[in-house]
Amino acid sequence: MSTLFECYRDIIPDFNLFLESLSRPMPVHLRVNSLKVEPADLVSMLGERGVDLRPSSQLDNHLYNAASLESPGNLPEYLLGYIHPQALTSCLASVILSPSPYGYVLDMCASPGGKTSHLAQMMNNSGLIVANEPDRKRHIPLAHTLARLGVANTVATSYQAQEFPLSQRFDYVLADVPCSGEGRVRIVNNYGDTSGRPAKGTGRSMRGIQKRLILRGCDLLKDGGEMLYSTCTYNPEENESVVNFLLQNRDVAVLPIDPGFGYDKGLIRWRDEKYDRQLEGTARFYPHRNDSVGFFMAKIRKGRKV
Amino acid sequence: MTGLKAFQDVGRFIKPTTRMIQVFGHYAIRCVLQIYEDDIKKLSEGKHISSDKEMDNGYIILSFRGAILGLGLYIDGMVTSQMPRRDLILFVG
Repeated sequence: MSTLFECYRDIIPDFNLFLESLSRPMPVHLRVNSLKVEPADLVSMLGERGVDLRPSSQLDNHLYNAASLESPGNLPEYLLGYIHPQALTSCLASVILSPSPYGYVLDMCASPGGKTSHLAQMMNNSGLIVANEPDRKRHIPLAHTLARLGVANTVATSYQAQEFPLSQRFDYVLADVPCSGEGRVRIVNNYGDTSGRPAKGTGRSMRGIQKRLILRGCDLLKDGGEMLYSTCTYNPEENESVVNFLLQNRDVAVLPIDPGFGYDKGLIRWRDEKYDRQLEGTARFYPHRNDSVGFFMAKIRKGRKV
Repeated sequence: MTGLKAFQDVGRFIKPTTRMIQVFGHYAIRCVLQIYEDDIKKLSEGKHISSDKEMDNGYIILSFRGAILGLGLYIDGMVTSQMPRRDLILFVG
């Protein structure tokens, strides 16, 4: 596995700690679904059965580490839609986008619906979310997640996201795009695959579609609207380079992200590429910093003057 | 898929969906049956339970420890579960 990530030795701080973290199992992390239950009631409910929940983020009081829990999907609380197992960094995407209630939101690549349902929870089931998922087979887990969690403000569509119709504009766009998935390598290993390879294509092969997605996401925003671009990979070619491409081609600004803990600033240089200084406002999440899935996030506002 | 599917037109009665009942069921003031662990065990074995509560024949809401579990079908004093057995088993360990 060290060979796979060796090319990032110069950009990932404390690289040896990073490598070490990949060999540890991923702790169970839960989001409490306030559409159905209050966090304090859920903590008490599970506490009575010996499950210890510890808050994992000061940004959102619905997020908990559940170190003693092995199979959250077998709990009655899962069936009732009180909880959703979701990695901490995955939850932070919705928290950082932070849509206002009654907003008009597009989730470009929505399945299996963890982030979509989190957005609905933050909006208290108000406004409208368009949950787009181009792969129709993936509408089954998407619909299951949304129904189980009691989401009622969402419609699902199945456009190729990079060709999503421009007939409507949105207040918020979540572009959690397909990527090489390097940040999930530890999860893959939990299920017995010790090859150490990301599940999907290489960074270079993904970059073309990612650029088309970020451009279309931006074009679908209202002026002053906000987009979160995210991947679960470390490769700058899929992250800073894609956002830099957007900065070069559209009137947008990067809004600084500060989740308050466990992150590093985005890069402004990678190999022979130099990026706009605004890229320092993006965030990189590494497993040795927050014991979760590796992620990259950039928050973007359309139009510089608002 | 749009919003939350609320009803299905099947059989003799209009059937609410389990997912809708789990969200809005706590507003119901009629046709709610409080059940207990022994009842869930019977239902999870495919057996029926009896109830002397006055209700019209049709679908009812099954409630357990304050949580809305899902639907039962009430016919002349007998209740059968409309929930998958594997789901019911989770509530009784």
